[in-house]
Amino acid sequence: MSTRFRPTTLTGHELELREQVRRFVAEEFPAGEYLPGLGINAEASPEFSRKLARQGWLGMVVPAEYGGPGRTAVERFVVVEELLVAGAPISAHWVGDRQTAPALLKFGSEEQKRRFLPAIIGGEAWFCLGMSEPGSGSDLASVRTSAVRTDGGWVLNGQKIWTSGAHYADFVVTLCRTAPLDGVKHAGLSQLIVDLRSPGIEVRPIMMLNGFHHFNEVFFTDVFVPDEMVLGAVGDGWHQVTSELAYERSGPDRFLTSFPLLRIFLALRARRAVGAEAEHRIGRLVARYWVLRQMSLSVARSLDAGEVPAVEAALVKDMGTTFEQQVVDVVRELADAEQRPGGDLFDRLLAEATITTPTFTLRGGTNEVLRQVAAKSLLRGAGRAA
Amino acid sequence: MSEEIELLEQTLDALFARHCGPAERTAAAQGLLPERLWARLVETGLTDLGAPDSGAGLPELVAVAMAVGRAAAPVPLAEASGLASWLLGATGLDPADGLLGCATTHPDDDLRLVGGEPAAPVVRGVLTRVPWGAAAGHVVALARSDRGPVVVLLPAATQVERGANLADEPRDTLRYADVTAVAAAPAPVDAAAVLRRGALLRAAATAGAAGRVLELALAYAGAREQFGRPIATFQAVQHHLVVMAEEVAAVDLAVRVAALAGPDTEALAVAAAKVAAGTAAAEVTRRGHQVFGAIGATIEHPLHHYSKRLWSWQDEFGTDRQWSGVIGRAAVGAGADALWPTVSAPLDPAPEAALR
Ligand SMILES: Cc1cc2nc3c(=O)[nH]c(=O)nc-3n(C[C@H](O)[C@H](O)[C@H](O)COP(=O)(O)OP(=O)(O)OC[C@H]3O[C@@H](n4cnc5c(N)ncnc54)[C@H](O)[C@@H]3O)c2cc1C
Repeated sequence: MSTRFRPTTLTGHELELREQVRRFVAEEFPAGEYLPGLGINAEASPEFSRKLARQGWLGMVVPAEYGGPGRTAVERFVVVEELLVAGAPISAHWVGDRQTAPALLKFGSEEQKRRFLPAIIGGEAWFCLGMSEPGSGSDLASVRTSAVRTDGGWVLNGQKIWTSGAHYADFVVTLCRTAPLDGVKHAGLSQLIVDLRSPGIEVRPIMMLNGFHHFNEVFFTDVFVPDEMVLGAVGDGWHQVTSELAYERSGPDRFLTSFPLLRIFLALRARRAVGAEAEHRIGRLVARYWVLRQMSLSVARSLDAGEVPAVEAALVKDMGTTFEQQVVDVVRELADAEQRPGGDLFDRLLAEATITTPTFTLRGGTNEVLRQVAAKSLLRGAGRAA
Repeated sequence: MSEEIELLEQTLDALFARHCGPAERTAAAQGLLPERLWARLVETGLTDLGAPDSGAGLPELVAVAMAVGRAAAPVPLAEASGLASWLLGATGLDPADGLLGCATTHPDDDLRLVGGEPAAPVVRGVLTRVPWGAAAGHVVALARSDRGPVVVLLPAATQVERGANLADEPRDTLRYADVTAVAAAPAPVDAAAVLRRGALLRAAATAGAAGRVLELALAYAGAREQFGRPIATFQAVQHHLVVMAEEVAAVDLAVRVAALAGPDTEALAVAAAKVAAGTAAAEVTRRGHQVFGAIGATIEHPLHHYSKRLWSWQDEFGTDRQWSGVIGRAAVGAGADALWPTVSAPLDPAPEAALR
């Protein structure tokens, strides 16, 4: 086998945590009244995120020396999957919790850790990711936003796009060129932690298909970024963003996005779930949820064991996000009716799911590119074995 | 994975590497058990691995079935160890000599007790598409009786209708017209449990075979050149390889998880593994053959040993459609609120092997 997914399950102690989360979620989102959000397309609610913070469920992996609970990747998995299943409004803290906290732990300076980690844990600072640019999507290393040395820091110029949450975030972690392009485009890149209130920053909304203000354009004009806001070492940006992806890729957010739709379908369209054909199709979905969850959990467990399951994570993301789209297709076919965006809870959720499905296989790197990355390492592995 | 299982896998891989040549395959295609290979398997105790005193559990039996799949081994080892010796052993009856066949609880099976003594009843009926049924010296099966299901140990059938699956694996239909059983005992498990176990073993063999096709395809894509470069450099080919790797990983993990599942999760875990096996079989054969081009569509090339098995195993011990139906019926019956608790149910009791 060229990939390693070991069977695992939740321990008694992890199940206790889950019970706590389930009780919390049941109180927050009484069934039948709440229109669930769809994964990371859900709304941002700083208030809700701060409630999670009070439970100790933000920045869970941060160790005690930085004020965190020092929980494991699996414990974070347990909390996150329950929130996604409920369709909770998780967007405010999402990037900080999933991406920035681990990146800071791995690459950040002592000062950065002391400053930002407690703010992430306490729900006091929201982060967003400034990677994509109008000319740089999949080919991320081609970014042109650049920072030039000045006294005590850097002067940043350029433009980011599709920046989720830049309109409410406090900081944008910005991938930019800190050395002129010199043949190797993966060299000379750095990540700067940029305060969105700095002079010279403009954030312009971009509306998604559902009319929702989710992402933005961010313009930097001579923005001063102090030295201490460079994440890790200058020039280490490419290594950082590619290794962050292992965390980003395979979590429950990569296969549970449309789960609330299937749940509400069963609740409100039960008569459409009758008969052998419907049972067969629903059974396939349930089987796939079961297996994908085992795979995703297995990756979390191996992160906790100190491994770097990069290919495994890429495979889970590709399969999971493709599956999230299939769920919407199957539910729509079983519902077997014209879409009515203004109808009941199910109608509204189906409409929302239908028009957000395209984003599932784009964000965080498209599936085509992901497959290319995975293929290279599978082939390398096979070459070694031969 | 425990060291014992790793050792078991190495032993089997080595045995099969030595003994799965053209001679063995030709014999098997004619319904003849490859004698030398089988003798080695009997000697090492592998054919009886499912017997209660062997100390082996489902994880070991699943490892055996995976190894059979990996080698496309032309022997009914998964059935003998995982089903026949298990079912017979569970009744406390003594094992029989020679190849012990096992009925599959095929939907067209119909076997019942029609008289005789409780320990040696007379049975009548038909066992459908029994793996290696004609070659078996004895056959274990479940029979119906007024007092519930009974495990019977039957002599070789005299009325045999030979059959095979796409991979030339014997699937023989056996008729018993008032035949006295060699031994019998009340069944400790029902037909559903036998079917579940068979399905898990087929899913395990599928994981092994599909994994092997992936290995072959990765190696071939790296070596075969067109347009002056290895076909592995073409993105369309890479996508085939990645999807194959995904489905192989999915069925592999699903099977290993199912082997550890306790009573609360077993039904879903096994059904999900069989559905995953169906998906893997479909994707891996279609994409695997596409990667190999014309050479893969020939008898010359070993790919067909795997793809024909995958195409056959998809539908044995319940088609994946039947298994998805089982899952769906349960999920729809349990309702919306049970959906997530079902999907996220822990393996219970938490197996130690799963927590390392
Ligand atoms: C909802 C949403 C939220 C997002 N949030 C953020 C965010 O917060 N921060 C951020 O920085 N970015 C964000 N993104 C951007 C996301 O990372 C990019 O959309 C993604 O990397 C793809 O870039 P692109 O959209 O420019 O597409 P392109 O790169 O132009 O790709 C277009 C198509 O071409 C294909 N393609 C491109 N190159 C190749 C190749 N080498 N081989 C095969 N096919 C190829 C792609 O797969 C795709 O199908 C978000 C996107 C979405 C949809």
